[in-house]
Amino acid sequence: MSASIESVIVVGASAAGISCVRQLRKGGFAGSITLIDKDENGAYERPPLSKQVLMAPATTAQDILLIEAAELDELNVTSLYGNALVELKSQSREVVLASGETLSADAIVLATGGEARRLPIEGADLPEVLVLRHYADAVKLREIVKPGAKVAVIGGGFIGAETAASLAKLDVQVEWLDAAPLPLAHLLPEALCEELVKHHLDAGVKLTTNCRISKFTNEGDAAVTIEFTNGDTLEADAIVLGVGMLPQMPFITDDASKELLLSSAGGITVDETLATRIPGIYAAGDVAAVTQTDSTTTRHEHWQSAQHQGEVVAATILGSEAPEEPTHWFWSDQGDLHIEMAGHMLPQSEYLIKREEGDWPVYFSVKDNRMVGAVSVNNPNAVRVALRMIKNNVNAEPEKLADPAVSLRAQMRG
Amino acid sequence: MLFVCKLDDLEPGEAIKVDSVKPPIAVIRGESGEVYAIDDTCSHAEASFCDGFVEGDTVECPLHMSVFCLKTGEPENPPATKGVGTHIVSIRDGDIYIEVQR
Repeated sequence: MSASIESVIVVGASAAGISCVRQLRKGGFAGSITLIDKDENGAYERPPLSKQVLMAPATTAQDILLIEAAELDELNVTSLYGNALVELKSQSREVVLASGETLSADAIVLATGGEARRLPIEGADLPEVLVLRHYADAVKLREIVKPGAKVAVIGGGFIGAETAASLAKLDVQVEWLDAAPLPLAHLLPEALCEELVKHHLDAGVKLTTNCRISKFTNEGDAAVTIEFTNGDTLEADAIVLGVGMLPQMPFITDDASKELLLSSAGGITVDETLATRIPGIYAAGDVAAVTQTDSTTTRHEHWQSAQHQGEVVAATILGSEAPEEPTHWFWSDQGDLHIEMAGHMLPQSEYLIKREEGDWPVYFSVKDNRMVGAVSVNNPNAVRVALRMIKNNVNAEPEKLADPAVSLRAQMRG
Repeated sequence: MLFVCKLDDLEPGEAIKVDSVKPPIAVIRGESGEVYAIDDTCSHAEASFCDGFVEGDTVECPLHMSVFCLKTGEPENPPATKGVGTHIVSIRDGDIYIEVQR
């Protein structure tokens, strides 16, 4: 452990921030830890915001906590919730908070996550245009969505699909709008997307693709009206935007620090150890733009990656060995569907293998007899086998993988 | 003591859900051959361990991949942070019985 580090400030009670806090203590750090978050609800899980928080009205922020007050006490962490970072003075390793306080530490971890992106069009900031990023956002939507209400969900990614599916279950009239020709197709194999979309349509969702929206207005009889570039209009009680996120950047005044910290790709520039170019300043999670040794930059927005980066940044601060990078994995719960994906699905169809098993097919990407990606619906164990096959780099035979008569478990060890 | 099934009917890596007790219990045979009984519902979200992935003497939650030790019921990795209850298993004349510990 670096002997000089006696205090750490973690900005953001996010998956990355909490993972860092836990790992610091697990790694033997005995100094002070201060956890700051602008959200008064503190550390809670975001995945439930588009699911249980909407569907089970009794769900409170307490029910979805990432870490409970008792554990924070046990870990001797000072939490300052509902207190935003207003300025980062990186050279002196100080944070200025909304409360007026200025705190300093030997190490500052920026785990501030992101904010939901809003469309750059007129009316995107109307009160009827909602996003889903914070607990308060979900509560606001929950209050509007009475059965029979009409809600337009904009965006063909996971948040859009999850929100549309949840609202349909609440007997809301859902108008799902996507700028692309097929929702989810930027994430999953096209044939699977078609089946998923069909499932959502059967559940009552109405889908319009290739949408071009020009503006939102709230001047007509309806709560809010969407105007399309082709002249069509759509009235709704509310609009939910699921059009991506933007990293939540700290306010920095001096140009030298800006230059060193702010990535042209968005986010905070860090190396693979998650250290910035300013000593004592680190970033983890959605906000971290990681420059690899081959000088490419990536920013991950998934839960597992945030969790892992929290552990990596703690190891960097402690001067201990970084944990092994897990195989890329994520999930999306859409109504009755639990979708999982491992590794990377290759876009080329020659690597795509379909296995007909159960109600939903499983897709694998196999290249040179090695598993590189997998996606399943309501069949997590198929992806769990694929994860192990990717990790252990074992022999993968396309014919056997496609054959439902040959169990996947039997193929797990090559 | 509650009869579950014959030992021969539960292969290593397989699970059977005991629904007659509430909340339900998962009787899972680890890859070592040992039989375990734990509360079936994950401590983190509404998921049944009987649908989980058994590896060694652990089960991985089918929703969010926390791995639980079948012997202790404790999670080895997040998102779950709390353990689940464990129950006593006995094998008599090739039959599996559990004793609910609640």
